Amino acid sequence: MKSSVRLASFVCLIHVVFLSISHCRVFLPNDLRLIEHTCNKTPHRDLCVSALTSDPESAGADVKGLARIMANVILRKATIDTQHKIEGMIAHNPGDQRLTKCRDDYKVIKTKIDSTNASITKHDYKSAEESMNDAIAEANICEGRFPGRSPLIYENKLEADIADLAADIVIM
Amino acid sequence: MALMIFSLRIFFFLSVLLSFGVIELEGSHHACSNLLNLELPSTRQAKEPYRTGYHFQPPKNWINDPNGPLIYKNVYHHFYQYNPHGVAWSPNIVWAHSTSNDLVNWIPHDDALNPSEPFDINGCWSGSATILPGGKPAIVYTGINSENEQVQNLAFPKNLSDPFLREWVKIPQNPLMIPTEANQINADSFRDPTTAWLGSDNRWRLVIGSKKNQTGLAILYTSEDFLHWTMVNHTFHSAKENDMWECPDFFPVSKSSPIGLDTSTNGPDVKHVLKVSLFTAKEYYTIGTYNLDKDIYNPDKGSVESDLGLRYDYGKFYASKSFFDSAKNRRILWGWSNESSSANDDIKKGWSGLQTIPRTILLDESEKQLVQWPIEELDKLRTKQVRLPGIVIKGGSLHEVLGVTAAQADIEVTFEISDFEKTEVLDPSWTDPQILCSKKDASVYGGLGPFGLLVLASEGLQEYTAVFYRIFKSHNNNNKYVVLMCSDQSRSSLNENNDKTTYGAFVNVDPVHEKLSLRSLIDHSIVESFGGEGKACITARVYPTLAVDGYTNLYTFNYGKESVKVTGSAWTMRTAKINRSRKEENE
Repeated sequence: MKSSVRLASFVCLIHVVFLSISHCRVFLPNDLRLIEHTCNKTPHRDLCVSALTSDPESAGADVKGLARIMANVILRKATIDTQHKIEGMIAHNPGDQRLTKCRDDYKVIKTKIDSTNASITKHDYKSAEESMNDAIAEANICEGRFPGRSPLIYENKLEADIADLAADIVIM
Repeated sequence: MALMIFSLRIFFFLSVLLSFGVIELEGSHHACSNLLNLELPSTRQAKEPYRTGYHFQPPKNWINDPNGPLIYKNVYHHFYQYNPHGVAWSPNIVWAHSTSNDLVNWIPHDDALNPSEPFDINGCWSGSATILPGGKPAIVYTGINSENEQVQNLAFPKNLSDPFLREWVKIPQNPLMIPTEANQINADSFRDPTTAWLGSDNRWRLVIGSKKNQTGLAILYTSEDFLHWTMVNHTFHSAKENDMWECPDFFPVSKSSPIGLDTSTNGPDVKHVLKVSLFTAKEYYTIGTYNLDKDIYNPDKGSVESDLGLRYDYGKFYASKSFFDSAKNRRILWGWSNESSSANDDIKKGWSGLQTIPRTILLDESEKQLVQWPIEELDKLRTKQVRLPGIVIKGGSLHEVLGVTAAQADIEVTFEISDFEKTEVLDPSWTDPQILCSKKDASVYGGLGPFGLLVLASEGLQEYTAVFYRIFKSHNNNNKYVVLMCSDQSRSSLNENNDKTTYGAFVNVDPVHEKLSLRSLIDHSIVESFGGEGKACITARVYPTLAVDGYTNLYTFNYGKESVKVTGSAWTMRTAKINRSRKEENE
């Protein structure tokens, strides 16, 4: 199905990028255990494990660190990808207000990622969760701008699921 | 689809592992697992796609009626009909027992009542609890005796200082109420004693379900000491053509305050409710007056006394029982929702039957119906609130709700209609809401509606359960509108062995002047929907094959001509701790 292909492609891309630039950081048994244990407690276990193991920085991170990676690395990358796609779509449909509004929605998501990052640094995990929750709301807003399924359904869904994971993990 | 993601993940996982050495991955250790008292929905459900995350059920086997719910020393007790040996009902059934501090998380205990004496050797059937003056709980229940007759027995807790009331003692004087030649009671139609109440003469009363020919009736017994019971000559109430009255429930409701009342309460501020369950697998209730002097119940004028009358729930909901929660002054209702899957599928999954989420019951302002709502404690299972953007859904479209675990969720939406022009007229012959919903299911185009929710939906919408409204113009009054609520299971599953009957109810809401709300509690194989802030409730059981766990979606939709504005919120629901065995707790 289409969404799984997109998801798989996204994961592949992340893996390739990070494997090629990583500094041979070893995933020790404890690191993987923590990732599995953390992800098992979330509703999107497979996505969670794929995402975290794609970033070598996850090795050696504690639970809050994993949350930060989910928000500041994984979600940020997904957001940038989607922003590029939106630009492309606007180029082909310059008059489409819904697309320009979605572009704004994703700008907001970027600021929410920044807020989450800052909150985690300050150990304010509740605020971090709220910012990720706001990101989910933005994904729903963009999706709702189109009748039926938007042309960005898979991106919006992935965005919401990753933000959901970050929100779940940051308060564990 | 899942296989592809899984294999890709394994590929990259292995590539990382292989680059840095072979590493064995073990099951996780649980140092931090106890930090979270309540869990997120997770892979625990992967092995059992239909097991619920927050509904009351034991780990396995058959359950049916809720029994003797009570609160004692701030601990809630729930008992229920349970077959310890299998996945089907058996007459040799027991009272299983669990306790809770919050009506959400439950600890299991040993069975409270097992067939053991001549007066219940063939089964411990349903019954109720009464809290006696001083606070001592008493259970009165139907036993199937050695002659296979239905008799009523009394049991007390063995140890009142045990907050869990784990052991119960059946008094040696049992049985206390029996069918005899003299009283002419039918020995296989004499069961389900209610909670007792005190009359103004300080005598106890309770009713027992029965029948005579085709008339369903409630037999009244009184007692001074709760030990010696005398049958009253006149019946408490009856209804022709009802057949057997099972699980009667009789209680007062307040006319003026949004609170519950102790079962013995009476007075000018009080009305009474009598609910009965019928062999058609439907229950109905009437609202009326309890005549203390004559010890008779009189339903209000206009009451419909059949399953075409008022019902707590217009779906899979039966054998319900209410109790007075003295800790929070509310009346709480439990119901049994049985499976809509085939007997073979039940054997495969190893369990059958759920209890619905406890609901508070109140008298509606109109005094013509009751209103129910899930207990507020359930809200603690909500994770972060996903605010739905207020969208005007044009006719013929749907919107996916993102960021919520759609198989285990709570969603509340409100619909605003600005234009009633395109409303269809209600044909006066359309009086049965269930048939109307079946004929006009979610796929049938309409004027104003169908609009609502698609729950437990697969990505391609091959499977979905639709909970929605249709609005009609009244046949003889152009300014009056009729609101129909439906729960459409016709496309809920590709498995043809399921009962996919559609349910419906008319909702007494004025859509012109009032907002129209809808709440659905979604939990893997059960959907409990509340229309009009609890004026109409519909419970459905569904078993999607594609829309399971991570592959379940949730949508708002509108398939009518007229646009509708939808606002609201959705929450992923955490998994509650319900009847976990010690072994499961430590996993």
